[in-house]
Formats: sequence, structure tokens, C-alpha cells
Amino acid sequence: MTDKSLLVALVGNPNSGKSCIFNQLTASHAKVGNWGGVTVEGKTGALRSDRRTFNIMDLPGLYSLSTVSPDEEITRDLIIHGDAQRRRPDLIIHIIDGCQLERSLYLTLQLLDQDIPLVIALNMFDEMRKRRLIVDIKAISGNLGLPIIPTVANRGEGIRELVDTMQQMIDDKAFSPALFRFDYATEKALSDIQEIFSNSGFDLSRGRLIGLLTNAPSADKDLPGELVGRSREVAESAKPAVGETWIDAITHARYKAISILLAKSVAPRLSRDDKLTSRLDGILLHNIWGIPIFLLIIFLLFQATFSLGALPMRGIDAGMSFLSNQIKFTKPGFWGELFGDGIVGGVGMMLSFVPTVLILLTGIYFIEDTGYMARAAFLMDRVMRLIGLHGRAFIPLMMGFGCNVPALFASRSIGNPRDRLLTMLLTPLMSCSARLPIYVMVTAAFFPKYGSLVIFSLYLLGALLALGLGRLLSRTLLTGPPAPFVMELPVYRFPSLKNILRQIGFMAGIFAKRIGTFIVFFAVFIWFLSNFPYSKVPPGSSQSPEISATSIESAESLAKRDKYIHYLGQFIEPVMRPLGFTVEMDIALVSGLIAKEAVVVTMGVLLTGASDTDKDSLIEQLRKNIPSTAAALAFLVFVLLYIPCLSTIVTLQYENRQWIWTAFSIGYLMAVAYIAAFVTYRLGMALGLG
Amino acid sequence: MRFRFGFQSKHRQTLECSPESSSAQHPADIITLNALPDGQEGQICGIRSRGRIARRLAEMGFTPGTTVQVVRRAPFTDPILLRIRGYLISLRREEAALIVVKHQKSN
Repeated sequence: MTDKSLLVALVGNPNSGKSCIFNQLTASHAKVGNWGGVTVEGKTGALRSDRRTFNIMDLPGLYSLSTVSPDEEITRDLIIHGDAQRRRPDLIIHIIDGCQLERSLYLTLQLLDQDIPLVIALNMFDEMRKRRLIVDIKAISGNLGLPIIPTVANRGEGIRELVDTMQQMIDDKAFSPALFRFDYATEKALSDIQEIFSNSGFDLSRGRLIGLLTNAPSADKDLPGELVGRSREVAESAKPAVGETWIDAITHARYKAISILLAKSVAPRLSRDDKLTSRLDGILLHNIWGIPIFLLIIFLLFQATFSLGALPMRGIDAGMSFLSNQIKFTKPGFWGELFGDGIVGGVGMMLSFVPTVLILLTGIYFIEDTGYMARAAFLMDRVMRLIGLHGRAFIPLMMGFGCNVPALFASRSIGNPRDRLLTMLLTPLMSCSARLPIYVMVTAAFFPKYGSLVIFSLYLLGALLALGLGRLLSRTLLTGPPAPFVMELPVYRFPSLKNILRQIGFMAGIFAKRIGTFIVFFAVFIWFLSNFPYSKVPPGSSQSPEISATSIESAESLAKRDKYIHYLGQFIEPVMRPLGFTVEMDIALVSGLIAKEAVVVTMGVLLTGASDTDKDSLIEQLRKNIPSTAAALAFLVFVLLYIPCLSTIVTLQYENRQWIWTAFSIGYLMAVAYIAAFVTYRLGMALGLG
Repeated sequence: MRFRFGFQSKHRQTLECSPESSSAQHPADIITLNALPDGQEGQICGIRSRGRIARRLAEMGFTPGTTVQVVRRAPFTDPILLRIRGYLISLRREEAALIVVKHQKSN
């Protein structure tokens, strides 16, 4: 065998400890990769030994190769059809949760028929021992004709043996697993189909033949339609011996074989963990208390993320504005401003998201690994179905109330891409905390008595629109077949902190490297818009500390309104006139595209001519300059609904990888904002709020 | 040398409790899974669908003859939490309604 690197696929049920094994095998050499045109990124990592390199791929978990959701299809396609170069894995490591042998072996039997060397990592072996689960590994391994390595992934036990076995399997080349025979009728049909294809020179794996017989999704990929048609005729003309369909016969036979395999194994009906799980479920899934407890957990997660995250954020802001001022002090003029305001400001903005993103993801991974995430989805599924979403979408959407950027990241816990896309499209409708200062200022000016009621109505409006638009989108553009809600609820486990930290480190890398560069790039671009045509700022003009990090122009240049960004504001003025907005409001909204925080600051500068306005005089000016109460309401509605900020858009693009959906998101948010603000304005005028 | 195992039967097997065969004797016992009360067990007779969902259910272990228990229902009585083959799985009501079971009354 040459020294070329070998492709190794990690395959297993969800919750089998796959990512843990991946981390153990690849140590810290994991990197993000894209698999042949797939929109989901995958982790690949290298395992180097003195003789060869294994390229290890952590594939999305699945229960069966005949998939029901697009994330599972990634795994299936790689195993059955290979990657973009039609290269199939050289070796499959099948990870099995030792406490779920019966169900997991179903996938094993499917993988056996793929003609790819297969090794089983029997994971969570310590828990099997703890449960006094007695399994004759030798016998099962012998009967299946493939090696089984007991592992305890989170403690690294059995990893060395696993690697040795992988080496040996590649050296030996000979891999002859058990041939699992079905009943006569099934075997006859399979050999008839095989004959059809082998006569035309196709050498199909047994797994492929079974797929053709049972009409499995994608089984006919790349095969001539005429031959597929003939094989379908075979499948339809013959009658299965068991059940009514071929899939009945095959699942029946496979599960029967599994029970024979496990005949000598002893499985206590209920272990201590199972008892703990059912006791905890009695509380956490309680008919009355289940949802309140869930909401409390979400509330704590929210508080932890956005209160705790605010501390380092303030530090980063302060550090960045110090750095920015230093640069501008040492090098006044254009270059100092470009570096000080544009670039340092952009980096500061990107960094300020990092703490919240990391804290939220830590919380979410923790909840996921304890087994509670599936329970949360179970509790909220009925509610989320109103929007056409899976129960899992609830947590990311809730987090949107804090900040949309980490919320978009959190949507990674939704497996099905259609559900995930819909969640991401709806997230911006959750009113994030950066919008709150705008609400507070405007309501203070116009609704001194009913301010909180107005603000609450805005939050509610966002949520209700998400409900309506979710229903609409899931019935029009995002119809695709919803994944069936066949969801396993794993037993409760204490998560491995080391594993969580590894994943967090990995995600932090993605965020800083991939998304961060774009945020910095766009921040510099916006800086150019707000500073060009360039005019030298007189020395000594101080910038408000609040905005220096977000690179907004200085008070003087803003007051002159001669920069591109102001032209942009003036340019859209005729379009916004039906909403009752003034040109100052338009400019503020344009500046809000960078970050919503900028809206209040810009309004302050434009209306009072100074960036360090005190609150009361700004409120006074707002009252004078916003033409009517109806216009103020329309302005609030517009702020609630138009695109949240540059960083959200960048994150959205990175997380869904389809610019068409990013463009759609921008377009539909703008349209919804415009229409809603228009309706609000007209209604307000009609009700005499002029 | 390949190890061979498995089972073969040349005769068409009839499932233990197809609804047609037993309904005459115990009409009340053959129900769909969503009608099974909390905590009760049933033995699967079959799945009343041939689509993707039926395939997935069969592959997850919902095969005829298997015992399934309704553990509890979520608030609003949907979805349903089940125990089958030693693990917990949740199904929505309309998915559970596809599964025909023979109610095994305990006490």
C-alpha cells in the first residue's frame, strides 16, 4: 500500500459519543472542511502514524442508511456514492453506544453490506460494566466477522487499540465480514436484480441491491434508468415472504438476526441510570411543571449569556477605544483614522461578540450533552409546530432576544437544514437587546406614561410576525418534506467538560477566523462610506466612547452631512416619506445597518450637533424633530423589523452558505419592515396620532 | 471462509396479530399506538403506511411483535414518549397513529 492518506469515516447513531472519539483520534488537529458541494461544514482531522496518515471525517449521526433528513444524507452519500471525486471511505469506524446494542446493530448490518472495511468501537464500555450488561464481544465479533474494540471515549480508553486495529485492517487488506442471508424470496429477488446490473457491467454492493429492492432514497443514483426500471419490476412482481413490503421483510430479518446475535447477552431490563432517567423525566417532563422548568432554564441561560457576557464585552470595548485613540494620537490624519477607527473598530466589534457566542454555545453544548436538549424539543414541539418548526428551534429563537449573532450560531443544534434555515430566517424578528435603547429613547419622548407597554408590544409584534411568517414560509418557499419527528431521548448523562471545551475552542476558531474577517471587512467598508469624501478632522474633536468602537464619524463631519452615507440617507428619503420619516431618521436608519446601537448616537449627533448629548436634551430634540406620534411608532416598528445589523447578515451568510437565502433574508426583512411601518403610520394617522 | 447465519423460511409467515385476524376475537384490543394510555404496553401488529415514515419506524425497531410502552405524553398530549427495545423515543401523534398495536392490559 502506498503512503497516500486514507479516508476514514466515523459513523454512528446520534449520542453515541462520535465527536468524543473524533477528538481522541485527531487530538487537536481538527479542521473545518467542506464536503463536495454540501452546505454543511464537516470536521475532518488527521491521525498520523509513522507509516500513514488517516484522514478522519466526523459525519452527521444517523440511524439508518435509508435516510429521512438532509443532514443524514451527507453521511449516506459519502458511504454509498463517495465524495465529489467518487472516492468512498477506505475504512469505516462504526461507533456504538454499548447500552443501545440492539438498535445500533441495525446500522452495523447495513454497513456490512457496503463492501468497505468496518471496525466497531463499542463505546461507553464503562457504563455497560456498571449496568452489569454482559455481552460476549468475542462471539459477536466472530459472528459478524469484524473487529469490535471496547472504548470509553471520554477517558481515552481503547483508543490505542482502535488505532492499532485500523492499521492492521489496512495492512491485511482482507476483509470478509459475515454474509447475512435473508429468506429465500428476498435472496431470489436480490440475485435477480444483481443479474440485471451485472449483465450490463455494473458491480453493485449488496447494500445497493437491497436499496434497489426496497426502493430506498438515492439507491438508483447514477444508474441507467432502464435497468432501474427493470429492477423495480422485479421488486414489484415478487412477493416478500414476511410482511407486506420488502422493507418489512428486511427489517424483520435484520432484527431477528440481531436478537440471535445478542441471545447470550444479558441485559437487565432497567439499570440505575434508566431509573434515574425516568425519575428525572417525571419532574422535567411533567405535564404542568415541565414547561415552567424549561423556561426557567432558558431564562438562566439567557442571563448567563448576556449578563455575564456583557462584562468582557465592556472590557473589550474599552481596550479597543483606548487602542484606537492611541493610534489616532500617534498618527493623526487619514491613516491614523483608517487604522484607529476603521480597522481597530471593526476588530473590536467582531471581538465583542466572542464572549456571548462562547458562553451561549457552552450552555447549549452542556444542555445537549446532558440529554436535556431532546427533552426541551419534546416539550416545545407542539408549540413550535404552529410555526412549522421542530421543537429544537425554540432555544435558538429565544436567544435571538439577546443577540441575533449567537442565536444564529445556536441554530446548529437543529439537524434538518430546512428547519435550520427557517429558524435562521425568523431569528432577526426576535428583538435583540441592541434595539432596546432606541425603543427607550423614542418612547421616553412620545409615550412617557405608556413606554413599557409600547416596548412590550414591539417584542410581541416581532414574535407574532415570526409566527405568521414562519407559517407562511413553511407553506410556500420552504415546503420540503419535514423530517419526521422520530427523536430519541437519550438517558441523562453528566457531560464531559473536556469534550465541551474542545468543541467550544473549535467554534471560537470558526467564529474569529471565518465570520470575523467578514465583519472586519464590512466594518472598514462602512467606515469608508461614513468618512468619504475625506476631510481632515480638526485635532481635539473628541469622539463619544460609545461609538468609537463602532467607527461612526465624528460629530462635526456628521453635522455637515457630506459623506456618502449621508447621501445614502438623503437618497432613500423619497422612498421613506410615506412612512412619515424625516431625513435625519433616514440617515440614522442607514447608520443602524452597521449596528443598531448607532441609531441613537446618530440621531443625537444630527439633532443636537454634538455626540455627547445628555439624554434629556436628546429626548427633547426627538420630540421636536419626529413629526408625529404616528411617525414615531412607525419608526419603532421599522427599527424592530429591518435587518438587525451587519454582523447578523455576515453570520447568516456563513451559517447557511447560500447567498440567495441571505439576499432573501435582507429583502424580506426590509419589505416586512416597510409594510409594517407603513400600516402603523397610516393607522396612527387615522386614529388621530398626527 | 464466510460465516453464514440468518434464518430462512420458504413459507409465507403470517404476523402474530394482524388486525384482520384478531379483530373478530378482541375488537377492543387492537388499537393504534396513540390510543394506548400512559404507562401501558402494546405489541406491534404493523404500520399503516408505506412511506418514508414507515421505513424509518421499522428501522428504528418498530417491527411486528415488538413490545412498546407509552411512557408519557408531552404537555398538550403531543408528542408521545415511548419505550421500545430498551430506549426512549418520541413520536408525534399522527406518526403514532400509523402504528397498530395489540393492547396488553396490565392489571
